[in-house]
Amino acid sequence: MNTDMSALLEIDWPQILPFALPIIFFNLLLIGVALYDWYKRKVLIVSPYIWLVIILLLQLLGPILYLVIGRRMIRNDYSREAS
Amino acid sequence: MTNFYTLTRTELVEAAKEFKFIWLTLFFVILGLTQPLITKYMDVILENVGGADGITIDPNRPVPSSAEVLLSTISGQFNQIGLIILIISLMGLIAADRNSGMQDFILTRPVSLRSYLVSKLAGHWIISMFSISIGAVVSYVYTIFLFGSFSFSNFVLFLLLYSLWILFVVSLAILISTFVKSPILIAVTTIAASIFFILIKGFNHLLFQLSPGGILNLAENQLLSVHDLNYFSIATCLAFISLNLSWASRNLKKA
Amino acid sequence: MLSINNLTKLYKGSEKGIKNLTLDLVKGDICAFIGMNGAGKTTSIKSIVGIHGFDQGDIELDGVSIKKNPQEFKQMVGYSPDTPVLYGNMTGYSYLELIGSIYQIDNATINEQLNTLLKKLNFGSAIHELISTYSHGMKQRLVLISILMHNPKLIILDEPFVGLDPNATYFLQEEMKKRAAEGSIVLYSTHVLEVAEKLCNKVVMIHNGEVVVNDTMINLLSESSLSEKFRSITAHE
Repeated sequence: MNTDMSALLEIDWPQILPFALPIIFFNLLLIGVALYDWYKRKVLIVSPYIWLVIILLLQLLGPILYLVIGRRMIRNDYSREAS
Repeated sequence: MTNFYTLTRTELVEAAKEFKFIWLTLFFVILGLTQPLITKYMDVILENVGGADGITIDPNRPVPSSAEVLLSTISGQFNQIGLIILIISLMGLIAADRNSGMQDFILTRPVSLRSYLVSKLAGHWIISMFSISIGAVVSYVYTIFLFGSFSFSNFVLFLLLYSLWILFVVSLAILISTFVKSPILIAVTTIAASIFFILIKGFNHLLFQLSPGGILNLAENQLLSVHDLNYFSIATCLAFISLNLSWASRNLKKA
Repeated sequence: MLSINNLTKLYKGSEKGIKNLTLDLVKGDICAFIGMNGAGKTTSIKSIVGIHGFDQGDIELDGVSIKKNPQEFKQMVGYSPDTPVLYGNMTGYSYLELIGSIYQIDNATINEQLNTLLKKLNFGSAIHELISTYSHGMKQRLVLISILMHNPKLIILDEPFVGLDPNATYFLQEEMKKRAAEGSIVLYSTHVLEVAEKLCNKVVMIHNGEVVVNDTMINLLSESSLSEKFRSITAHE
């Protein structure tokens, strides 16, 4: 999770790119899945916009954390009320 | 037995409808791709990314073998960050069952506690291994592409043994969820216990070899082509799994 | 017949629970559990349906003990909890199929039962929609259908009338009478005493975990109405 963008420009891209592309692709796919689910549930979950930021900014971990934790934090949890 | 089948299928269908198969697989694929790539281009990355001024890399350092890279992917990535995410995702389902009253639903039906627990175990194990296997196979292909060939049969053997470790972790999560109510505590305790087992397996003593983590040693040795193998740990691992389940079943009966 | 013998269940570290509940119900009985919130109604019910164990006593249905033979016992019971618990990602129909396969009912019987029950409960095409889109009342009705499918000998309902519309309430009352007439035992907890007076032939009142009334409705009503009795019991505080 390096945030220093300028360093990215100096890397020898042609050498790495063919191998890095799949990683970038799958990362985008994962973010896509998380965003799709977020969009569907945005009225249900607790603090949706914080989760949006987490999904978009934390590479790899953000979308995963949203999918395992965030999407389950439902507002007005009736189940908890009952117990 | 029909109940076991019905419950397991329900578990899998629920997971499929929540896209769990997709995102967990994506996660493990990314983990599996990243490690070989970083290992291969470590020098390039260090050179270009700032903050590495003091670090010099021996240009004559031996290129790591495929086996070593695979090992670092599995025990470095899958078994650390991967395991943590896996356990957090497990706690979600088991704890949700408890808190939403779904467990009560099952307990009032003519379903034996054993088929309920075994179906949980089987369901979550299948989901986990589906994702881990795909991630591992992708990592394998990438690794032999970047670092040279490695026996596929050894790799499959490794994966089979590793799946027993995952089976143990799932059974541990089930056991702990019968003790603790809070989902977060379940996850923390399970993660702590798993890491404890991973740590003590490193000690070279028969007692530690027979601990549940011993199966990981056996699995990793498949990659390193060590021949002095302790297949006894398969039996102990299975024994620990059934111990976990019967303990969990006792807890549920008592509650 | 259902015989509950000396059932005692106390929660750890508190005095709450149920003490020495003894109750015999025969085929055709409709029995009401009445008591204030926290009196021990739900605790007793959860013990009878096997959600949690109990400290002392035994529960037998037609000679089958829940302790010795839990699965056989549960096969004969239909239980509806106070809040309906359902898989949200399923359609009503696939939920009922799941229940059917747990009780090992074949599909033909399921469909036959469904047609009659669905019609009575005005379910319509909603049965093929996702459960998460249902209203509370619809979930309640789905649970009712799911617990009646296997023709249970003992029907246990925890506050069944909460959230039901007048039509469904009428249906449930009629269904309880019908099932009782056909030889089932119906046991339910409620706060609506007027309905219980008409519907039930037996009544159990629980106060602070102890059984204070365990009588037939006719005997009880010859003294006073349920509501008066209830107030005189709870006034002792």
